[in-house]
Amino acid sequence: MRTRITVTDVVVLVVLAMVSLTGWALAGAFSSADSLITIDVDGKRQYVLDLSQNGIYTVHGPIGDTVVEIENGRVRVKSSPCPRKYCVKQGWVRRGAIVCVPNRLVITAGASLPEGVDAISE
Amino acid sequence: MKRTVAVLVFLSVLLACTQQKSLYRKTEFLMDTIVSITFSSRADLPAVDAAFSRLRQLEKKLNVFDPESEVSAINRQAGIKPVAPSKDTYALIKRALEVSEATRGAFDITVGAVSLLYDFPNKKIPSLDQIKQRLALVGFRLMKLRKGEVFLPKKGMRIDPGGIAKGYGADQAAKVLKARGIKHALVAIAGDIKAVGTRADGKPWKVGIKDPRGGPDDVYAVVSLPADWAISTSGDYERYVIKDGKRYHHIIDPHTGLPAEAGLVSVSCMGPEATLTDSLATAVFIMGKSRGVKLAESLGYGVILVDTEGEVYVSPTAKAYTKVLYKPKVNGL
Repeated sequence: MRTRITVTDVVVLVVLAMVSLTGWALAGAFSSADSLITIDVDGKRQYVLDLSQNGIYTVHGPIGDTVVEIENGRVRVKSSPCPRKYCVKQGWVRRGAIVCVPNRLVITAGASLPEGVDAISE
Repeated sequence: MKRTVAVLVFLSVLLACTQQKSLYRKTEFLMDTIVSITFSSRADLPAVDAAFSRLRQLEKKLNVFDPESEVSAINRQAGIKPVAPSKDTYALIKRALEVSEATRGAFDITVGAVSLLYDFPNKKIPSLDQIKQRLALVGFRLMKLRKGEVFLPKKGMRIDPGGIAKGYGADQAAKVLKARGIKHALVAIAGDIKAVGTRADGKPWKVGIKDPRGGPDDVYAVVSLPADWAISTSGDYERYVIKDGKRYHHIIDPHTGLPAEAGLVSVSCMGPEATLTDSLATAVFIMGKSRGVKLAESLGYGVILVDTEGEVYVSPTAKAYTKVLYKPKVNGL
Protein backbone atom coordinates (compact mmCIF):
# COMPACT_ATOMS: atom_id res chain seq x y z
CA MET A 1 0.00 0.00 0.00
CA ARG A 2 1.39 3.42 -0.94
CA THR A 3 1.37 6.13 1.72
CA ARG A 4 1.08 9.74 0.59
CA ILE A 5 2.58 12.55 2.63
CA THR A 6 0.06 15.34 3.08
CA VAL A 7 0.65 19.03 3.81
CA THR A 8 -0.68 18.47 7.36
CA ASP A 9 1.93 15.74 7.90
CA VAL A 10 4.70 18.15 6.90
CA VAL A 11 3.35 20.92 9.20
CA VAL A 12 3.10 18.51 12.14
CA LEU A 13 6.64 17.21 11.54
CA VAL A 14 8.04 20.78 11.34
CA VAL A 15 6.29 21.69 14.62
CA LEU A 16 7.68 18.54 16.26
CA ALA A 17 11.18 19.34 15.02
CA MET A 18 10.91 22.88 16.43
CA VAL A 19 9.71 21.58 19.80
CA SER A 20 12.64 19.12 19.88
CA LEU A 21 15.18 21.81 18.98
CA THR A 22 13.81 24.18 21.64
CA GLY A 23 14.09 21.43 24.25
CA TRP A 24 17.63 20.68 23.14
CA ALA A 25 18.59 24.37 23.37
CA LEU A 26 17.03 24.67 26.82
CA ALA A 27 18.81 21.53 28.01
CA GLY A 28 22.10 23.34 27.47
CA ALA A 29 21.15 25.95 30.05
CA PHE A 30 20.73 23.62 33.03
CA SER A 31 21.10 19.99 33.87
CA SER A 32 19.15 17.03 35.05
CA ALA A 33 19.66 16.75 38.81
CA ASP A 34 22.07 13.81 38.51
CA SER A 35 24.37 15.19 35.81
CA LEU A 36 26.78 17.14 37.96
CA ILE A 37 30.51 17.49 38.24
CA THR A 38 31.81 17.92 41.77
CA ILE A 39 35.35 18.98 42.62
CA ASP A 40 36.59 18.28 46.15
CA VAL A 41 39.96 19.23 47.62
CA ASP A 42 41.05 17.59 50.85
CA GLY A 43 37.50 16.33 51.39
CA LYS A 44 35.96 19.79 51.06
CA ARG A 45 33.68 20.67 48.16
CA GLN A 46 35.09 23.44 46.01
CA TYR A 47 32.79 23.33 43.00
CA VAL A 48 29.48 21.82 41.92
CA LEU A 49 29.08 22.36 38.20
CA ASP A 50 26.64 21.28 35.54
CA LEU A 51 27.98 19.13 32.75
CA SER A 52 26.84 21.90 30.44
CA GLN A 53 29.02 24.56 32.11
CA ASN A 54 31.85 24.63 29.59
CA GLY A 55 34.85 26.44 30.96
CA ILE A 56 38.20 26.33 32.68
CA TYR A 57 38.30 26.26 36.47
CA THR A 58 41.36 26.75 38.67
CA VAL A 59 41.31 24.72 41.87
CA HIS A 60 43.72 25.52 44.70
CA GLY A 61 45.25 22.48 46.36
CA PRO A 62 48.03 21.95 48.93
CA ILE A 63 50.80 21.71 46.29
CA GLY A 64 49.47 24.34 43.87
CA ASP A 65 46.80 25.04 41.27
CA THR A 66 45.12 22.29 39.27
CA VAL A 67 43.39 23.49 36.10
CA VAL A 68 40.18 21.63 35.28
CA GLU A 69 38.37 21.92 31.95
CA ILE A 70 34.75 21.08 31.19
CA GLU A 71 33.71 20.77 27.57
CA ASN A 72 30.52 19.37 26.08
CA GLY A 73 29.55 17.14 28.97
CA ARG A 74 33.03 15.83 29.77
CA VAL A 75 35.77 16.88 32.14
CA ARG A 76 39.56 16.61 32.29
CA VAL A 77 42.54 17.89 34.27
CA LYS A 78 44.25 20.26 31.87
CA SER A 79 47.30 20.89 34.01
CA SER A 80 48.47 19.89 37.46
CA PRO A 81 51.40 20.69 39.76
CA CYS A 82 51.73 17.00 40.73
CA PRO A 83 54.99 15.23 39.74
CA ARG A 84 53.70 12.25 37.72
CA LYS A 85 50.66 13.88 36.04
CA TYR A 86 48.53 10.72 36.22
CA CYS A 87 45.43 12.92 36.51
CA VAL A 88 46.32 14.81 33.30
CA LYS A 89 47.12 11.57 31.47
CA GLN A 90 43.67 10.17 32.35
CA GLY A 91 42.22 12.56 29.76
CA TRP A 92 38.52 13.29 29.24
CA VAL A 93 35.92 11.61 31.49
CA ARG A 94 32.13 11.66 30.94
CA ARG A 95 31.21 9.57 33.95
CA GLY A 96 33.44 8.45 36.80
CA ALA A 97 36.24 10.00 38.79
CA ILE A 98 39.63 11.64 38.37
CA VAL A 99 41.84 11.58 41.44
CA CYS A 100 45.04 13.52 42.05
CA VAL A 101 46.53 12.17 45.28
CA PRO A 102 49.41 14.69 45.64
CA ASN A 103 47.05 17.67 45.32
CA ARG A 104 44.27 15.94 47.33
CA LEU A 105 41.81 16.49 44.46
CA VAL A 106 38.79 14.36 43.53
CA ILE A 107 36.66 15.17 40.49
CA THR A 108 33.44 13.20 40.13
CA ALA A 109 31.59 13.39 36.82
CA GLY A 110 27.94 12.36 36.64
CA ALA A 111 27.72 12.81 40.39
CA SER A 112 24.44 12.74 42.22
CA LEU A 113 23.29 13.43 45.75
CA PRO A 114 22.84 10.55 48.19
CA GLU A 115 19.76 8.49 47.40
CA GLY A 116 16.48 10.01 48.49
CA VAL A 117 17.97 13.44 49.19
CA ASP A 118 17.23 16.60 47.19
CA ALA A 119 19.83 18.86 48.86
CA ILE A 120 22.39 18.81 51.68
CA SER A 121 22.40 21.34 54.51
CA GLU A 122 26.01 21.72 55.54
CA MET B 1 -2.67 11.57 8.72
CA LYS B 2 -4.15 9.26 11.38
CA ARG B 3 -0.74 7.69 11.88
CA THR B 4 0.89 11.13 12.34
CA VAL B 5 -1.71 12.17 14.89
CA ALA B 6 -1.16 8.91 16.77
CA VAL B 7 2.61 9.54 16.82
CA LEU B 8 2.03 13.11 18.02
CA VAL B 9 -0.26 11.95 20.86
CA PHE B 10 2.25 9.24 21.85
CA LEU B 11 5.13 11.74 21.92
CA SER B 12 3.08 14.27 23.94
CA VAL B 13 2.23 11.67 26.55
CA LEU B 14 5.87 10.54 26.67
CA LEU B 15 7.06 14.14 27.10
CA ALA B 16 4.49 14.77 29.86
CA CYS B 17 5.57 11.62 31.73
CA THR B 18 9.25 12.54 31.48
CA GLN B 19 8.61 16.06 32.70
CA GLN B 20 6.67 14.86 35.74
CA LYS B 21 9.37 12.46 36.83
CA SER B 22 12.41 14.65 36.23
CA LEU B 23 14.11 17.02 38.58
CA TYR B 24 16.39 19.68 37.19
CA ARG B 25 19.03 21.70 38.89
CA LYS B 26 20.82 24.91 38.01
CA THR B 27 23.99 25.73 39.93
CA GLU B 28 26.07 28.91 40.14
CA PHE B 29 28.89 30.16 42.34
CA LEU B 30 27.40 33.16 44.14
CA MET B 31 27.56 34.84 47.56
CA ASP B 32 30.96 33.19 48.03
CA THR B 33 29.40 29.72 47.89
CA ILE B 34 27.59 27.16 45.76
CA VAL B 35 23.98 28.09 45.02
CA SER B 36 21.61 25.64 43.42
CA ILE B 37 17.94 25.71 42.58
CA THR B 38 16.16 22.39 42.01
CA PHE B 39 12.96 22.52 39.99
CA SER B 40 10.60 20.10 38.33
CA SER B 41 9.78 21.43 34.88
CA ARG B 42 11.85 22.84 32.05
CA ALA B 43 9.22 25.55 31.70
CA ASP B 44 10.36 26.90 35.09
CA LEU B 45 13.76 27.97 33.76
CA PRO B 46 12.95 31.69 33.14
CA ALA B 47 11.73 31.97 36.75
CA VAL B 48 14.86 30.18 38.02
CA ASP B 49 17.03 32.61 36.03
CA ALA B 50 15.11 35.52 37.59
CA ALA B 51 15.81 34.08 41.06
CA PHE B 52 19.54 33.88 40.26
CA SER B 53 19.46 37.51 39.02
CA ARG B 54 17.90 38.53 42.33
CA LEU B 55 20.70 36.75 44.21
CA ARG B 56 23.37 38.47 42.10
CA GLN B 57 21.70 41.79 42.95
CA LEU B 58 21.79 40.96 46.68
CA GLU B 59 25.41 39.82 46.51
CA LYS B 60 26.45 43.24 45.18
CA LYS B 61 24.77 44.95 48.12
CA LEU B 62 25.68 42.61 50.97
CA ASN B 63 29.18 41.28 50.25
CA VAL B 64 31.36 42.52 53.12
CA PHE B 65 34.52 41.73 51.11
CA ASP B 66 33.46 43.85 48.12
CA PRO B 67 34.51 47.50 48.68
CA GLU B 68 31.70 48.60 46.34
CA SER B 69 28.94 46.95 48.41
CA GLU B 70 26.48 48.84 50.62
CA VAL B 71 27.66 46.90 53.66
CA SER B 72 31.24 48.07 53.01
CA ALA B 73 29.98 51.66 52.67
CA ILE B 74 28.26 51.40 56.09
CA ASN B 75 31.45 49.97 57.63
CA ARG B 76 33.67 52.65 56.03
CA GLN B 77 31.48 55.41 57.46
CA ALA B 78 31.56 53.99 60.98
CA GLY B 79 32.07 56.83 63.45
CA ILE B 80 31.72 59.37 60.63
CA LYS B 81 28.17 59.59 59.30
CA PRO B 82 24.97 57.59 58.65
CA VAL B 83 24.50 55.80 55.33
CA ALA B 84 21.18 55.34 53.50
CA PRO B 85 21.35 51.88 51.89
CA SER B 86 18.78 50.18 49.64
CA LYS B 87 15.59 48.73 51.09
CA ASP B 88 17.15 45.25 50.94
CA THR B 89 20.17 46.08 53.06
CA TYR B 90 18.08 48.12 55.50
CA ALA B 91 15.51 45.30 55.85
CA LEU B 92 18.24 42.72 56.42
CA ILE B 93 19.96 44.82 59.12
CA LYS B 94 16.61 45.53 60.79
CA ARG B 95 15.80 41.79 60.92
CA ALA B 96 19.33 41.07 62.17
CA LEU B 97 18.83 43.48 65.07
CA GLU B 98 15.53 41.78 65.97
CA VAL B 99 17.32 38.41 66.08
CA SER B 100 20.19 39.97 68.07
CA GLU B 101 17.66 41.19 70.65
CA ALA B 102 15.83 37.84 70.81
CA THR B 103 19.11 35.94 71.27
CA ARG B 104 20.50 38.53 73.72
CA GLY B 105 23.46 39.13 71.47
CA ALA B 106 24.45 35.51 70.83
CA PHE B 107 23.77 36.46 67.22
CA ASP B 108 25.11 39.97 66.69
CA ILE B 109 25.55 41.52 63.26
CA THR B 110 28.18 43.93 64.66
CA VAL B 111 30.49 40.98 65.42
CA GLY B 112 32.36 42.01 62.24
CA ALA B 113 34.81 44.16 64.27
CA VAL B 114 36.21 40.88 65.63
CA SER B 115 35.12 38.15 63.18
CA LEU B 116 36.74 39.91 60.22
CA LEU B 117 40.12 39.65 62.01
CA TYR B 118 40.05 35.89 61.35
CA ASP B 119 41.53 35.02 57.96
CA PHE B 120 40.63 31.35 57.49
CA PRO B 121 41.72 30.97 53.83
CA ASN B 122 45.22 32.10 54.85
CA LYS B 123 45.04 30.29 58.20
CA LYS B 124 45.56 33.46 60.25
CA ILE B 125 44.12 33.75 63.76
CA PRO B 126 44.21 37.09 65.63
CA SER B 127 46.05 37.38 68.94
CA LEU B 128 44.13 37.66 72.21
CA ASP B 129 45.31 41.29 72.50
CA GLN B 130 43.90 42.15 69.06
CA ILE B 131 40.59 40.54 69.99
CA LYS B 132 40.45 42.36 73.34
CA GLN B 133 41.02 45.73 71.67
CA ARG B 134 38.17 45.19 69.23
CA LEU B 135 35.58 43.71 71.60
CA ALA B 136 34.42 47.16 72.72
CA LEU B 137 33.35 47.76 69.10
CA VAL B 138 30.92 44.84 69.16
CA GLY B 139 27.40 45.58 70.31
CA PHE B 140 24.19 45.67 68.30
CA ARG B 141 22.57 48.06 70.78
CA LEU B 142 25.09 50.75 69.78
CA MET B 143 23.86 50.70 66.18
CA LYS B 144 21.46 53.39 65.01
CA LEU B 145 18.70 52.64 62.51
CA ARG B 146 16.48 55.57 61.65
CA LYS B 147 14.35 56.59 58.66
CA GLY B 148 16.17 54.36 56.21
CA GLU B 149 19.63 55.28 57.51
CA VAL B 150 22.18 53.08 59.24
CA PHE B 151 24.91 54.41 61.50
CA LEU B 152 27.72 52.68 63.33
CA PRO B 153 28.63 55.29 65.94
CA LYS B 154 32.18 54.15 66.78
CA LYS B 155 35.10 54.19 64.39
CA GLY B 156 36.22 50.61 63.76
CA MET B 157 32.73 49.08 64.18
CA ARG B 158 31.92 46.58 61.44
CA ILE B 159 28.78 44.71 60.48
CA ASP B 160 29.24 41.17 59.18
CA PRO B 161 26.07 39.81 57.57
CA GLY B 162 27.70 36.37 57.14
CA GLY B 163 25.36 34.65 59.62
CA ILE B 164 22.13 35.89 58.04
CA ALA B 165 22.64 37.01 54.42
CA LYS B 166 22.45 33.56 52.83
CA GLY B 167 19.18 32.81 54.61
CA TYR B 168 17.82 36.18 53.50
CA GLY B 169 18.94 35.35 49.95
CA ALA B 170 17.15 31.98 50.06
CA ASP B 171 13.94 33.70 51.22
CA GLN B 172 14.21 36.31 48.47
CA ALA B 173 14.94 33.76 45.72
CA ALA B 174 11.93 31.71 46.87
CA LYS B 175 9.80 34.86 46.79
CA VAL B 176 10.80 35.52 43.16
CA LEU B 177 9.99 31.93 42.19
CA LYS B 178 6.57 32.08 43.87
CA ALA B 179 5.74 35.46 42.31
CA ARG B 180 6.37 33.86 38.92
CA GLY B 181 3.97 31.04 39.63
CA ILE B 182 6.46 28.30 40.57
CA LYS B 183 4.87 25.84 42.97
CA HIS B 184 7.66 23.28 43.40
CA ALA B 185 11.32 24.24 43.87
CA LEU B 186 14.16 24.05 46.35
CA VAL B 187 16.65 26.89 46.81
CA ALA B 188 19.97 25.91 48.40
CA ILE B 189 22.58 28.54 49.28
CA ALA B 190 25.25 26.32 50.79
CA GLY B 191 23.66 25.12 54.06
CA ASP B 192 20.66 27.45 53.88
CA ILE B 193 17.79 25.75 52.12
CA LYS B 194 14.31 27.05 51.44
CA ALA B 195 11.45 25.06 49.93
CA VAL B 196 8.90 26.47 47.54
CA GLY B 197 5.90 24.24 48.16
CA THR B 198 6.59 20.50 48.04
CA ARG B 199 7.99 18.27 45.32
CA ALA B 200 5.78 18.05 42.22
CA ASP B 201 4.47 14.65 43.39
CA GLY B 202 3.19 16.26 46.61
CA LYS B 203 5.86 14.62 48.76
CA PRO B 204 8.10 16.82 50.93
CA TRP B 205 11.54 17.91 49.78
CA LYS B 206 14.18 15.77 51.50
CA VAL B 207 17.21 17.53 52.91
CA GLY B 208 20.22 15.64 54.23
CA ILE B 209 22.21 17.13 57.13
CA LYS B 210 25.93 16.82 56.63
CA ASP B 211 27.92 14.57 58.93
CA PRO B 212 30.13 17.12 60.74
CA ARG B 213 33.22 14.91 60.42
CA GLY B 214 32.24 12.99 57.25
CA GLY B 215 32.91 13.51 53.53
CA PRO B 216 31.04 16.07 51.40
CA ASP B 217 28.14 13.68 50.64
CA ASP B 218 27.84 11.97 54.05
CA VAL B 219 24.56 12.83 55.77
CA TYR B 220 23.74 11.67 59.31
CA ALA B 221 20.07 12.70 59.20
CA VAL B 222 17.39 13.38 56.62
CA VAL B 223 14.68 15.99 57.12
CA SER B 224 11.36 15.95 55.26
CA LEU B 225 10.82 19.66 54.90
CA PRO B 226 7.21 20.85 55.33
CA ALA B 227 5.94 22.96 52.41
CA ASP B 228 7.58 26.41 52.28
CA TRP B 229 9.83 25.70 55.26
CA ALA B 230 13.56 26.33 55.48
CA ILE B 231 16.51 24.64 57.15
CA SER B 232 19.99 25.98 57.94
CA THR B 233 23.04 24.34 59.45
CA SER B 234 26.00 25.88 61.27
CA GLY B 235 29.00 23.78 62.14
CA ASP B 236 32.58 24.01 63.33
CA TYR B 237 33.74 22.21 60.14
CA GLU B 238 32.82 24.79 57.49
CA ARG B 239 35.80 27.11 57.89
CA TYR B 240 38.44 26.41 60.48
CA VAL B 241 42.12 26.25 61.29
CA ILE B 242 43.79 23.70 63.55
CA LYS B 243 46.53 25.47 65.54
CA ASP B 244 48.48 24.10 68.49
CA GLY B 245 46.08 21.15 68.70
CA LYS B 246 42.99 23.37 68.87
CA ARG B 247 40.23 23.90 66.32
CA TYR B 248 39.56 27.57 65.58
CA HIS B 249 36.28 27.72 63.63
CA HIS B 250 34.35 30.59 62.06
CA ILE B 251 31.40 30.83 64.47
CA ILE B 252 32.62 33.65 66.68
CA ASP B 253 30.98 34.32 70.04
CA PRO B 254 30.29 38.10 70.05
CA HIS B 255 30.75 38.22 73.83
CA THR B 256 34.31 36.78 73.81
CA GLY B 257 35.53 37.32 70.25
CA LEU B 258 36.64 33.67 70.24
CA PRO B 259 35.23 30.65 68.39
CA ALA B 260 32.13 29.49 70.29
CA GLU B 261 32.71 26.65 72.74
CA ALA B 262 29.27 25.58 73.90
CA GLY B 263 29.77 21.85 73.48
CA LEU B 264 28.29 21.60 69.96
CA VAL B 265 29.77 20.73 66.55
CA SER B 266 26.69 21.08 64.34
CA VAL B 267 23.34 22.85 64.71
CA SER B 268 20.47 22.78 62.22
CA CYS B 269 17.37 24.92 62.64
CA MET B 270 14.13 24.47 60.70
CA GLY B 271 11.08 26.68 60.34
CA PRO B 272 9.23 28.92 57.89
CA GLU B 273 11.78 31.76 57.43
CA ALA B 274 15.29 31.05 56.11
CA THR B 275 16.54 34.43 57.39
CA LEU B 276 15.68 33.20 60.87
CA THR B 277 16.86 29.58 60.47
CA ASP B 278 20.24 30.91 59.30
CA SER B 279 20.76 33.35 62.18
CA LEU B 280 19.18 31.02 64.76
CA ALA B 281 21.51 28.14 63.82
CA THR B 282 24.45 30.46 64.57
CA ALA B 283 22.86 31.70 67.80
CA VAL B 284 22.03 28.18 69.09
CA PHE B 285 25.59 27.06 68.32
CA ILE B 286 26.86 29.92 70.51
CA MET B 287 24.22 29.65 73.25
CA GLY B 288 24.53 25.90 73.68
CA LYS B 289 21.91 23.16 73.71
CA SER B 290 19.80 24.06 76.73
CA ARG B 291 19.30 27.81 76.20
CA GLY B 292 19.46 27.60 72.40
CA VAL B 293 16.81 24.92 71.97
CA LYS B 294 14.52 26.64 74.47
CA LEU B 295 14.71 29.87 72.47
CA ALA B 296 14.20 28.21 69.07
CA GLU B 297 11.23 26.16 70.29
CA SER B 298 9.65 29.28 71.82
CA LEU B 299 9.69 30.78 68.31
CA GLY B 300 8.16 27.61 66.81
CA TYR B 301 11.45 26.50 65.20
CA GLY B 302 12.92 23.00 65.43
CA VAL B 303 16.55 22.10 66.19
CA ILE B 304 18.69 19.09 65.28
CA LEU B 305 22.16 19.15 66.79
CA VAL B 306 25.29 17.11 67.37
CA ASP B 307 27.37 17.67 70.51
CA THR B 308 31.10 17.19 70.99
CA GLU B 309 30.49 13.57 72.05
CA GLY B 310 28.67 12.84 68.79
CA GLU B 311 25.28 12.60 70.51
CA VAL B 312 22.38 13.67 68.30
CA TYR B 313 19.47 15.63 69.77
CA VAL B 314 16.22 16.39 67.92
CA SER B 315 13.91 18.99 69.49
CA PRO B 316 10.11 18.42 69.70
CA THR B 317 9.21 20.61 66.68
CA ALA B 318 11.78 18.87 64.46
CA LYS B 319 10.98 15.33 65.63
CA ALA B 320 8.10 14.53 63.28
CA TYR B 321 10.16 15.50 60.22
CA THR B 322 13.58 14.08 61.08
CA LYS B 323 15.08 10.66 60.51
CA VAL B 324 18.48 10.18 62.16
CA LEU B 325 20.51 7.68 60.11
CA TYR B 326 23.47 7.24 62.42
CA LYS B 327 25.47 8.82 65.24
CA PRO B 328 28.36 10.81 63.76
CA LYS B 329 31.84 9.93 64.97
CA VAL B 330 33.18 13.09 66.56
CA ASN B 331 36.63 12.18 67.81
CA GLY B 332 38.77 14.95 69.28
CA LEU B 333 39.42 17.54 66.58
